[in-house]
Amino acid sequence: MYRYDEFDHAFVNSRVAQFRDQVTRRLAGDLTEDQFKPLRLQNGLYLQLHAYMLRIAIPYGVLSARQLRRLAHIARTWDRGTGHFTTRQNLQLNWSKLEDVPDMLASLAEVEMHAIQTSGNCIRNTTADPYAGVAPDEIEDPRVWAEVIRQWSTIHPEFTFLPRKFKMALTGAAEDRAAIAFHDIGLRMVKGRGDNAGKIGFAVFVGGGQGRTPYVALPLNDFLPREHLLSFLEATMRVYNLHGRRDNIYKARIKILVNALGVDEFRRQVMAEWKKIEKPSIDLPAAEYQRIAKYFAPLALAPQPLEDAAVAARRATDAGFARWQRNNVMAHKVTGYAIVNISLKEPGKVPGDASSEQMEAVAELAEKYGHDELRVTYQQNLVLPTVARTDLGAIYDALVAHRLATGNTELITDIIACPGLDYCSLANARAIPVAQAIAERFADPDRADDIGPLRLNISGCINACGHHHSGNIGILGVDKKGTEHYQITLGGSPKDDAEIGAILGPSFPAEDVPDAIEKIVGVYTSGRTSKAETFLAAYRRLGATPFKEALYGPSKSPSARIAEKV
Amino acid sequence: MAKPFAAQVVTANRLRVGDVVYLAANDDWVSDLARASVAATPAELAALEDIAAKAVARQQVVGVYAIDVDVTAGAPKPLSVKEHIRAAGGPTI
Repeated sequence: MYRYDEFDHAFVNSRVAQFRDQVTRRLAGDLTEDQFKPLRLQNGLYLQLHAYMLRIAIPYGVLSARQLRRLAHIARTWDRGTGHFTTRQNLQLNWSKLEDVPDMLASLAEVEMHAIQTSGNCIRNTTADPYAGVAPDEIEDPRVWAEVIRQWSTIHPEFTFLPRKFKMALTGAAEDRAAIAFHDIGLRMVKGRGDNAGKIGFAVFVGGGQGRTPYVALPLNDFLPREHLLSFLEATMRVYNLHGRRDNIYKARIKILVNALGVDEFRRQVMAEWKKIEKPSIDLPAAEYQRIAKYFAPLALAPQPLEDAAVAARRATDAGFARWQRNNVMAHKVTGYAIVNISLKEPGKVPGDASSEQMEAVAELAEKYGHDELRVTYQQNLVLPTVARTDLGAIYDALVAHRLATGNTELITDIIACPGLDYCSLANARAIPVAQAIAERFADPDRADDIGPLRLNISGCINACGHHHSGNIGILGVDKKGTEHYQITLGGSPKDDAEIGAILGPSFPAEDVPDAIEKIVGVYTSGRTSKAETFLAAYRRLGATPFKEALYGPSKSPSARIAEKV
Repeated sequence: MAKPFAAQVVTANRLRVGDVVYLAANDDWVSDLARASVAATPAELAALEDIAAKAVARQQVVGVYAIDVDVTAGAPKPLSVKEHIRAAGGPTI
């Protein structure tokens, strides 16, 4: 992974010292809250429902064991011993004290971490495929370019005060595991064709996002030679910065601009701007690319047999282990190695939460079996990207001991949930208790397995931090005359077949949501052509009607509705 | 017809540590909503807000606002779900 150079260290340490001084001045009364608020937000410090919340950046979701241990230490020392992994692959601490935050940031800086640009109208933490560098379906490791974007976008003087926050995601793989279609800019590494044959570049998508106005990103550039990434991003950002609306916070994201102009006109403006840019002054020199790429050099792994006899034997006798391996262990690009997903979704627990002890246990596994590498997923789980298949049994046992071995990756209990009204001052309704109730309803692992792949996402408000729009089943908390209600959407997808879910009908009170999900799942399991037909595929084939009828009763013709009113 | 004035209390967070607090008697800030001073009239609310503004100026609290409450058996209770959760001192999970 990338290691800070002298400049990085000096910059992050200077920001810690600067914020320490700002906190001192705030507590002494030399800064008002109006003056201080933008400063604390630039350092990831929010004032939430109960307390201050510190959002720590985990660049493109990549962590070392030492860094995870430090996060555990910070959570234990200055918070309440728990961290919450977010859909931006970051970590939130919900009980931070303002007077402690400078020390927390200093502790982070010691392990090359910070909370810069985790808030504010700037380019936020770029997210990436959590299997980057190890996926068998990868064209090229996107972490190198994620790090390039991190360096380019950090306190970029032109893009620090954008019309609104800006989120990018990238993948280098055939399968989209980074939800690039729901980002302001989504980048996919692709092989060139025709004149570009033999080259690797980016397919660039723009204007995706969730929130109150969800859009799937549109194609901006089918093939951008990778060496021109920064100048092209710069041109795109300039068009947005110039024309993005600053008069209305709800219309300020780039998705609104792209869809107001039309993507063809937006593209024309970007190309015109790009033409004006003196590219060598912005694009990364090849030598600098090579310098950064060395930090992400593949591990020297000798291929091993695909199957290990002891692992196979255990799989035959231990159903829990077999399930965990089937659902959470993925193919690695080197035979004999595996990618291990560590679920933070044990039914009944808070989705995405990890205690300090759990974080330390995972760090130990990374050190002992995982080449000191860890990833955070936007589905709020952790990943050991490279382990030997011979070690799977020992890893599973350690995970069981720490209640981290739930074998439910991308099943109905692997629920994305935002903090909701339990923590967030913007929320209209709670998300976590609803997620817990649904997960407990479907806690029988055989049943979850039988249902198969199903993304269920919950947001506590229209800002959609819980990605409800892209859930196969999405749940949105709304305030209905002072009570928490939940609107259900079906058919969303965050993947290559990205789609925004459609609202099924009137909302439900919290206590009725698990029953509603049960009915929806029942329509699917009774209507699917076979177990091979996923929930999403069945929904697309069947349409919304049988699901609506299961929840609201048979639909009536217009004449029948008129007759009822007479 | 003007909407009748709802009973209100003034809330904030302690600047230094972020805890949720309510303005109580003797210009004190307390974590227990039951001890908060209740404004029954606009004039009483204005007086509480004036006290709160001074506490903000002293760097004692931040994020001051008033919330609607229902006073039963002499103790204020929040009307909204959000303020109910906030007054409980932590998440409901």
